Amino acid sequence: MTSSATTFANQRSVSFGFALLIVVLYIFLLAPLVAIVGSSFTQSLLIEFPPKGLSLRWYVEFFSRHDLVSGLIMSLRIGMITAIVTTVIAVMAGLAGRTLRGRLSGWFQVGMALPLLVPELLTAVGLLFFLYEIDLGKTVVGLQMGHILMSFPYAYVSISAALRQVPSSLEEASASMGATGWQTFRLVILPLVMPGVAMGAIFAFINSFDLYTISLLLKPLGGNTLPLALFDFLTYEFKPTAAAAATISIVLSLIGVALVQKLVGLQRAF
Amino acid sequence: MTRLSRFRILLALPAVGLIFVFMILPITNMVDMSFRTTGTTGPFGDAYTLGHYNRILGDGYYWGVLLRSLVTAAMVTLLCLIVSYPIAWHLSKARGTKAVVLYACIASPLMTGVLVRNFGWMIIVALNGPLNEVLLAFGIIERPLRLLFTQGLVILALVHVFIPFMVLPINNALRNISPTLTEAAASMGATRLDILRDVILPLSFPGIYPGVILVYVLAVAAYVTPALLGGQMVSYMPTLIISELTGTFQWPLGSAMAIVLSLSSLGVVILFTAMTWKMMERSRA
Amino acid sequence: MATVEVTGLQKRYQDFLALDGVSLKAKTGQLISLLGPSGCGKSTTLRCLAGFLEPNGGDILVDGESIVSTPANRRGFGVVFQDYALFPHMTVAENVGYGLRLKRLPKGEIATRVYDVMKLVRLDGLDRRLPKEISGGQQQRVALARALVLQPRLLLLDEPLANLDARLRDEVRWLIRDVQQQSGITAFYVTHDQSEAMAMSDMVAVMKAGRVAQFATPREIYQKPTERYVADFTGEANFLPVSQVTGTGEGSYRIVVAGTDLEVTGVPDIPIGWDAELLLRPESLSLVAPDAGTFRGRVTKSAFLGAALHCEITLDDGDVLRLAADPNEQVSAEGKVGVAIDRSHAWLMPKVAP
Repeated sequence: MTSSATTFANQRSVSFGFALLIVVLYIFLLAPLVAIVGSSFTQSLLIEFPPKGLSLRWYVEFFSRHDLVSGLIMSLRIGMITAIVTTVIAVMAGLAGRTLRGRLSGWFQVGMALPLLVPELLTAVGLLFFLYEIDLGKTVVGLQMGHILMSFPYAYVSISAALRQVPSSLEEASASMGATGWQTFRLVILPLVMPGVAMGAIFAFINSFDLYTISLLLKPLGGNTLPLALFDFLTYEFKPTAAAAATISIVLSLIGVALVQKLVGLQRAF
Repeated sequence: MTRLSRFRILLALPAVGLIFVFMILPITNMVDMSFRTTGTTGPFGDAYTLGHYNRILGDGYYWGVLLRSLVTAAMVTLLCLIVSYPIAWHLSKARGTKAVVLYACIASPLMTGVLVRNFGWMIIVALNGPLNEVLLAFGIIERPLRLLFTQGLVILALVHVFIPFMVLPINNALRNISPTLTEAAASMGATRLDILRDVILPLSFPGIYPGVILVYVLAVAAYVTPALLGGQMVSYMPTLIISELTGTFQWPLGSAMAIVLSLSSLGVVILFTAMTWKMMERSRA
Repeated sequence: MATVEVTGLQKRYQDFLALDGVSLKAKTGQLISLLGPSGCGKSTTLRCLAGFLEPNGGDILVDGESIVSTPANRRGFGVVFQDYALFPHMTVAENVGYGLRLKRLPKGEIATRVYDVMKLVRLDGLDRRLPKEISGGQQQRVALARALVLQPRLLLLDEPLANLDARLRDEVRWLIRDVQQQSGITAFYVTHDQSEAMAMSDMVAVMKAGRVAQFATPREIYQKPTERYVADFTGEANFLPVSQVTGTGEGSYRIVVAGTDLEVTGVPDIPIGWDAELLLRPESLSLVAPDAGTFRGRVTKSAFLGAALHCEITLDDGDVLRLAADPNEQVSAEGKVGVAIDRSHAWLMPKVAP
């Protein structure tokens, strides 16, 4: 607001107070992440912030713990599959959604976002029974389906937003030059929406990686995702290993943020 | 194009199928489940009963837990709105690199899991943690505060979890307000407070509304935060539901509880919508 | 009801000098237009007057008192914005009454004053509508009513007609002028449309790169511009290069133009040797027989526009003149013609003001 310095009286002192408030709020917003990353490098045996000394011993410890590492691998695998599957079906759904007009289009958008709009708890409880009834209870496939369902809206929202930016006249022009539907998609639409598609995949992956409640209810026998393993770890042993595990998760999300900024810009993405 | 469009709508089939089979069917099934009798051999019986609903609605204990969940979520939503509004206002004024940095500061927690963020609070509020140390150093307290496993911490952590959900829609609404409106109001003699009350707040309502609804619905059903930070002393509906389902395998009762919880939060949403309908109608551009 | 004096106003954005010493004077009840292309500083000047911008230098005196340190919300000026800036969530009446409500006037008085001003701008009957439910012209009048209802000392209008179509623009323009004159409010009016500025103003300030190029009555601006920039911006104009300029008195010169000797009036005190041009407005030229008139040439283009016949004449020495001839005139392409000039409307001026 530097451009309207005289619009109001005592603008400067108010601005200063407001700036202070904003700084405090951002500290609040980022404090937990900073505390985790900081305490993961401690030398001591306790989770402490600020850390005592600097060491990577808790990362070594993390990678020697079978339960945590297998949780990480499970989360990465499920996240990857979730990203691929949701992206493909979200692109298809987005192309279909483009042909709808007016009120129908609005309802379609809402329908595609349903897993986001209905509380995770409700969906998770419903799925728990349902998977049990179709004999997928406590299986990796069941958990995978849950993750795909919960992450789909994130992929869909990014991808359909990207598709909306492509004017339909481009498709008509391509068709007028003799391209088939597939050729138009492959050569015209896909290259244009690629950043949005990639962003959708990132959101789907990260959402899957972070899911907790649904994983808790659907977890396969003997298999844990990283958040589940971390929760158990925190309840029984409160050691800096947990901070190391959490830091890995934070780094992943930071990479995600950076990629989104690079692909479409954070301001447009959110 | 029409023949082509008719074919193209079929591309939605996998997505529609996914949501129908793995969401609509299961939730419908759950409604059915909530009327089943308690099973003797499996997690549920074959006969139907209203007993679980009677039990939940007739028992002061469940009422208490439900009320606590609804009230806590309301407090979380209100606090979240109060904290998020200045952030959103500040963000909406930012341009260029500054805006990117601020967006990154808001998106990073958003993209970090709830569990991880809650764990961060465990570190901060620990007896020998940074918060207690700062308070001690400034002489605000004489001995470290025990904050872990308190209701206050649950609320604080939930507010933290939901800030981005509130900031982003409000920011978008604020960005849509023409700066000349502020100037116009000022030229008519409005102070900053007048403008906030008469112009900015009403016109940002299209952002406040979805933010409030989203945060409330998510907060009512939040499981991880109360489970990790709330300790054993205080029960919330979601923790109770999950322990019924995974601990005692009371599927029908758990379903009924989940449905009661969802319907009551839906009721609150409808109430809020009705109360703010007029404002929404006007402020929608 | 106020006099305004702006002296040496400066506004700097980092390296860019948006206002470079703007000085203006308005008497009570005058309407002053700030005219110029985008980026010339006209809106910046208005925003400094309104208090939305803080100038880096210079002063603004209203009734002899400096107001630069008075915040916008205590200046008591009415502002009308290009995008109208109507509060979309308030009805028309609420918009108009907003300033009165802030003054905590009794409800009854607010209602009466809103009613009166709405009648003044011919908006009666629309008070319960929301801004999005009325037309652009009506929105513009609401914005005007909202500024007037507070009986401001000064009315500031920032391109108020820019978003209206041509027909409405005319209607609202006269309404603004009528209301401003009836109420005797001093007004500043920013526009990039010269005909608007000419038609409405008591005084016009033509602005160029953060400075006032000329500040005078519309007639003077049009007929006696101080430099080519002003003449160009205020209407169709022909500029002929001149040679052998000799001053023959205060503001009168003997020149040679297109091979012809002429006595003309012009900007006083053009320095000797300064690059000067002769301004000939199209309406001060007429077609005559090939051997009559001041200049000789041939018609190289002509277009029949109904009310006039626009011709382009290439003079024998290569200079080109545009003029509006009688539509009944018969011209043939490449036909030889003479051009007569109305000497009293020929004006000698520097290409760039010294």
